[in-house]
Amino acid sequence: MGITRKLIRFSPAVAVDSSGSSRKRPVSRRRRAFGVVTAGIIVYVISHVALIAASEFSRQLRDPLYGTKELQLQRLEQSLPAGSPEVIFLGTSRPMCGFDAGRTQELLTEKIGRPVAVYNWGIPAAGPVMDLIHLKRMLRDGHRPSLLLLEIFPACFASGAGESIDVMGLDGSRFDWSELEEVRAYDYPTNRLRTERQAVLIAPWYSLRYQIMGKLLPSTLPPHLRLRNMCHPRTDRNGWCPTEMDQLSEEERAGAFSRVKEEFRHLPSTETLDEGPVRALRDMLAVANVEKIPLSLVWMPEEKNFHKLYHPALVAAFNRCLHELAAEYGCEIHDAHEWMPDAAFADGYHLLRSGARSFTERLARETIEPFFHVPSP
Amino acid sequence: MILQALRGAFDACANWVIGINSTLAPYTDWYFSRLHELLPDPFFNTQAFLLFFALVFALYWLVPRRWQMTRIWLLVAASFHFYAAWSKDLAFLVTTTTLADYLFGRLMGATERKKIRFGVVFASIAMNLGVLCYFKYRGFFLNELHDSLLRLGYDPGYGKLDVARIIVPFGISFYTFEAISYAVDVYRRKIAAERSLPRFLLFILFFPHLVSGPIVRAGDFLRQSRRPKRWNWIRAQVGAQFLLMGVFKKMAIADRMALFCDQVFRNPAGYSSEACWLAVLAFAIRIYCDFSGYSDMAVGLAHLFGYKLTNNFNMPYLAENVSEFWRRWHISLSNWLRDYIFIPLSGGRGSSQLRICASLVLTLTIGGIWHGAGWSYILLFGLCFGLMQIIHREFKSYCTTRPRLDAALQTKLGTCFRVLLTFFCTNLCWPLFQPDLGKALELYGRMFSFAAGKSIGISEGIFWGIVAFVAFCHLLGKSGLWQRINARLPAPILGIGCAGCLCATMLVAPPTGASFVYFQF
Repeated sequence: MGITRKLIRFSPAVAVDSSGSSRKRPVSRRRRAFGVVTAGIIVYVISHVALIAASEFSRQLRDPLYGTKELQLQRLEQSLPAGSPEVIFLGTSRPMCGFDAGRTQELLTEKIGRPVAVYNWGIPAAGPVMDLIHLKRMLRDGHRPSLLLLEIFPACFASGAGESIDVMGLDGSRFDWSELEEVRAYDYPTNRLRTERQAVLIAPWYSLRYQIMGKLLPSTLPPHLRLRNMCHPRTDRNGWCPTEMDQLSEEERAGAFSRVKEEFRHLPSTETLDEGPVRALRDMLAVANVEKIPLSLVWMPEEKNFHKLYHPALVAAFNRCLHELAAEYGCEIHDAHEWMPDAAFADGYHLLRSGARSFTERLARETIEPFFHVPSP
Repeated sequence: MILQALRGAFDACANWVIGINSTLAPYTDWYFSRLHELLPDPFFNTQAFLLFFALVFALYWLVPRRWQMTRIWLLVAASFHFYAAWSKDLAFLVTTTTLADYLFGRLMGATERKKIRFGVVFASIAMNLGVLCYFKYRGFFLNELHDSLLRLGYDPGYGKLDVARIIVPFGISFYTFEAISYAVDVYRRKIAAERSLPRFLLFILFFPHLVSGPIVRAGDFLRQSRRPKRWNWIRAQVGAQFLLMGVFKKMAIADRMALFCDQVFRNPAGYSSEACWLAVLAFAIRIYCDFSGYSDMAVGLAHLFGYKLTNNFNMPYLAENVSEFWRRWHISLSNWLRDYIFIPLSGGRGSSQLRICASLVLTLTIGGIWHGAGWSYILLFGLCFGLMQIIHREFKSYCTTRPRLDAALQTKLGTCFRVLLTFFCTNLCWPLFQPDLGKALELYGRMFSFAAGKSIGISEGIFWGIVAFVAFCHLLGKSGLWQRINARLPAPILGIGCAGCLCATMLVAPPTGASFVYFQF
């Protein structure tokens, strides 16, 4: 009894009135404490289990970026008559910034004379493996593009001694359990990803915090996590997210490029392609073949200085690999890396808004319109 | 001859230990490396620690109440493993010095002869301080000696030590002071020498307070360890709430504020004056929430085993003067310094002002040295806080001759002014709370030069939101409103609130969890 009285004095939950004496009897205080502890444990366990269940059934919760993109695509399809053709551009942040899908949709609709859906599925740091995962998910979710454009970025195939850019910062909680087995074939760090995926079952509130906070309070996340967990507010209904600025001074451009050089410092010394991403690309072409989805490979524009970062042997191996795969699977290659002047870039490999418009018009004219048999002027 | 014999005996002991170690090494290395994989860090806010705690907690309360010693041995073993998971060699070191302190205590308890008792307490203090100085201060002192000799034109005869490569045992400053306080209390006959080895081992090694305090007193803890523990729901609630509060302070506030201040403290050059001032404010909140959060977790964990540790913080940023600040900040250390350094030095009441002031500065300098081997810690605690305390004492005596001024300062507005002034003065000292004095001076330079530069680059809305939240919580606690609300809330609502708080803590934890600031001590 004496211990209890002493404890209450130091307890954060003190039942003390203004005279300083405790009002409740010890038995009811014990009962109250029991109620607090058990209620807290029960509520926490229920919330824990509920969140786990929600994360298992809702990909939107685990991978909000994919979920948001898929929802946008769904809405786009629903806004057009059923059976309208669909063009989807899969890739990294380069098409995300550089391909104005909405403009392409307007041009195509005008030229073909029927509605066409064009969607920009550019996701930051999404390499060939994640593109394959996203394509399979899209097909399972009932989206069948009439034409699939796939960005090919040499840096995603050349990690050097470290992790490739699509693996760095990748969170295992975004994957389904079956996908974790699939990515093992592409030299992904499956053990780490599996541990992160399992962590969702042990501590869901902690493991899914970026995904949840990305929805509730995005400003609490640092920029690189915001990119990975949410669509930027500037993203339009066709998935295009242009850069904020449209013009840069030389000093700003130089500063941005020096940061990019640091990020890709391994490229000049990397001469060979990684086998994992090449296998993923091959499997993607195979899936497109089986599903009878026409696929075109697109090498996005790059500034001359950025292109010089690649080792010549890497470029040669990359071109060789692409042509072999294109011949094997009957797909086209559109090498657009020299299409745009250097002034069109924000940092050497992401297009500015005006550059994106010019690139989009040329890509639509040279790549997409011929597919729909639009006669060239 | 005696020295040679002693040296021979030491060599023989060392060889014996080395021999045993090399025989057992393959097994122990495997065991402890597995342990390290399971519990890599001695941090309370990790999944690995939660599993460890859950296991120990379950086993502890499953042991019948009448098997008290079994429970104590269980906690001792768990605490040893907790430390050994980080470093088995240092765990053995801590255990060995604890064993030595126990024997010293028994020796003092076995004799009434003052000279022997004095010799034993001296030996105990020398051993504990020797170990502390060897690990924590030898790098600093040897390097300073090296530089001084070079400046005087002499050859030091040795190269500078790489301080970063010296491994300092976690918690060495804390358990050293606990051991010294035990030895002194036994010498002064404040407490009897502890006869039970497992209880004494638990007093030092108890894992909630082992690595970062609070600094417990032997009399209090050993008395608790003799009392059989019965499961108590009130204690469980208190423990859980302290634990939750600590986790929230650490993960939701301290780690978030670290994002603001660490980048500026690491490299102040290039940041604007405004950014530097914000970083100092962020650091003030960070260090408070980090350390008090850890202390709350330690207190909460101890409660869950039926032990009460002293609260280490009492809303220090609501202190009305610097003296009160040190009665509210790291209370266990302040009390230790007062009882074992300041009072013996100052001679108690009736001593001259000069002696009291000198004792104050010296005590705080020792407090600074306790924190770290660096001039910045010595300057911070010795000079800055010591001077502020002296100024406060002088101003207080001045106010006694100025009743109107004194009355004005006691009004609500006056009190508010004093609280803000104390907060501002302590904030000004925090840049010194880092090992690199150069960086601290650089930060001061940026703060007071109205320099232009880059901003912190993280949402200031979140920053000010956290500052406002911490201020609000302080006011809620001080007004007693929280206690009244807490007492009236129905149990399920309070429980749901705690569960919600835990979920919110995990949601807002930032990407990079910083380690506890006070772990370096």
